Amino acid sequence: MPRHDSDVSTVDTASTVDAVNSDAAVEGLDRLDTPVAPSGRGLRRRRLARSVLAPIGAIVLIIAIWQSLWAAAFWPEYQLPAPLDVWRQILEVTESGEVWTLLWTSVHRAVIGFAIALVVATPLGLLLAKVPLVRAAIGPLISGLQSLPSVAWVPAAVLWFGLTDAAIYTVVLLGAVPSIANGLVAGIDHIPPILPRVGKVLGANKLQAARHILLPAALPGYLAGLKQGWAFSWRSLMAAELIATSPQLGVGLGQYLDNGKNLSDMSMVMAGIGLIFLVGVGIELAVFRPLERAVLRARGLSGAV
Amino acid sequence: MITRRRALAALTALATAAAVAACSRADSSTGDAQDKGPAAELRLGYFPNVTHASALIGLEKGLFAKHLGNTKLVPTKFNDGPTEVTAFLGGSLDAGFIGSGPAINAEARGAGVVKLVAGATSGGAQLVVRPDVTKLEDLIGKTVVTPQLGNTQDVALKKLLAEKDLTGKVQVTNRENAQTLDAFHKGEIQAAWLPEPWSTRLILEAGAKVLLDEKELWPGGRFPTTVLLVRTEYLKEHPETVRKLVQGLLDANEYARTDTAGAKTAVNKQLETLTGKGLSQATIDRAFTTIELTADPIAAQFPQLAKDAVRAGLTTKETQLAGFADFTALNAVLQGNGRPPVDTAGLDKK
Repeated sequence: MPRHDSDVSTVDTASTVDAVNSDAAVEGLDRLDTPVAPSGRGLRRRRLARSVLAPIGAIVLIIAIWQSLWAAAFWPEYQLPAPLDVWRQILEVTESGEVWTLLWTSVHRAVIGFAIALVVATPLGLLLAKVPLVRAAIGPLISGLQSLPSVAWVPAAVLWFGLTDAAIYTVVLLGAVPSIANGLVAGIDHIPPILPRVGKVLGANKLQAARHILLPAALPGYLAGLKQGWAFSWRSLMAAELIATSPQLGVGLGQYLDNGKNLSDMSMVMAGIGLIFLVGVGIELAVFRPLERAVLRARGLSGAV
Repeated sequence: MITRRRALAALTALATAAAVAACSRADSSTGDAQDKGPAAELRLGYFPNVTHASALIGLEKGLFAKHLGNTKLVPTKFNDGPTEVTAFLGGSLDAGFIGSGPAINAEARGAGVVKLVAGATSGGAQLVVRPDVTKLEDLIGKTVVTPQLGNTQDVALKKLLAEKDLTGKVQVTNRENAQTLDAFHKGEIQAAWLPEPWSTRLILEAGAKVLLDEKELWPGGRFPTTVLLVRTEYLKEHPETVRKLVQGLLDANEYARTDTAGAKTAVNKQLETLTGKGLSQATIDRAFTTIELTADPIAAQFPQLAKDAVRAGLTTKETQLAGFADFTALNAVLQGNGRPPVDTAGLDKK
């Protein structure tokens, strides 16, 4: 096989060339790959200003538009209260301490629900990604569940469990589990095939491959799934709290919103929406954004965040 | 970068300026709506309850339709007052039978959006309990159910609890009436303050007994349980239609007075259509003994009811009721029937 022989000889020549340039070349390539980190205090301050001032500006603008609409008496006040009225409502629940009960009730439910979803979804995702039969059998189902709004489960959950916490957790789980599982599957699917092969070449066994290659490589996808899973569990929880209302369940943010509706108190409704938004965004900013940033930076992808 | 920052600063300044300029609200009065003659349509809200007997009789016997003539009557069923109030405020309801509690709340939230034009029912609300409960204090640590947060019975119960210093010691929860009956059967709840026919159903079907009839709390035993509200704009545009509606209401009450058996049958027929199941004869007989059908809104009690809502902790400031009522249509119809006008108790004047 003369052709093959010639191939091998080319490779040989190439590797000799590589060996000559060795370390210096690799270092140069590495430097090229590394994104330019912002240096100097001025640059960093400007970046901070942009990332902090821009959203604040947007919020100020929205409130200004809201205020002008109110001032123009475009809608009656029971439909669009003044921003200040809503602020006063929030202050009132804060001063009376009611807000902490509301937040505690809702947030601890969401966190517990999310934690259970995590424990259920992670093995499920691994199975789905790695066992073709499981994937063929329930893969489409899980993807389908993800597009089914989990609020659709509320009536069923209430009939199964009554107006209890169990009903609420059911809805939260059905919302969050598919997102997390799908995120993990996507993360594993998108691992470049070269990585497991490198592992094999270096002599990693199955367990080591999973621990050192599969999981770390799937981490960004998994993290995206977690982020979406949190968003889903938070909105499922609010839907469940809004529909399955009973004082025995404790007054969470959803129930607070519903009470506002029952009293036809629009500023209470807006305050409720505002608090729900703040919690959703707050957890995202406090937990998932730093996590994501850390993972991406570890992979030299910090430019995206 | 500099120019962008400048643009941002300018935008912020502009927004702030707009916000500052917009601190006072423009005059939002819609002006004086003109009388546009008879309306094409009348959307009438009511509940499938015996306390709404006037509405049910009027609908079953065609008494509203008879007077309304060409105006199309669109009956709209609600299960609780707060929901009906949202319909009023959202402009998707023209007139409606409703409890006094939500009626006052409607005025509190959207001052001037609705007007009280007539009464419908007095009485018909009781606190019913398990037989082992003999006094209010026995309910400490137990749960009392009312139909909905801020509805008439909810206000009455919470006000009573506040008066007896039992707020927080007695749990109050809200449930749909049918669920309350079920929960009482199962022993999940010990007490409920309900409008008819539900208090009677709890007594006859689930072995409850009356701990307190709301009548005992009011002078002369009379208080507005159900009243008729009309959207102010509708009232201004179609006073003639509203007058006809009130005429239908008076006819319904008159029918109930002269033919009680017929009235019971009419109410039951409507309930059967609305809820799929009629009441037993014993239930409807007992329920009817607790109510009084009267077009008199018992206006003199409204200021007290507004105070009660504050006492109940449902609102922080007392609703101003001046200008809340407009009994022009009612008194005109009463006069036409050769009957004395009702007392306005000053509610009709600003």
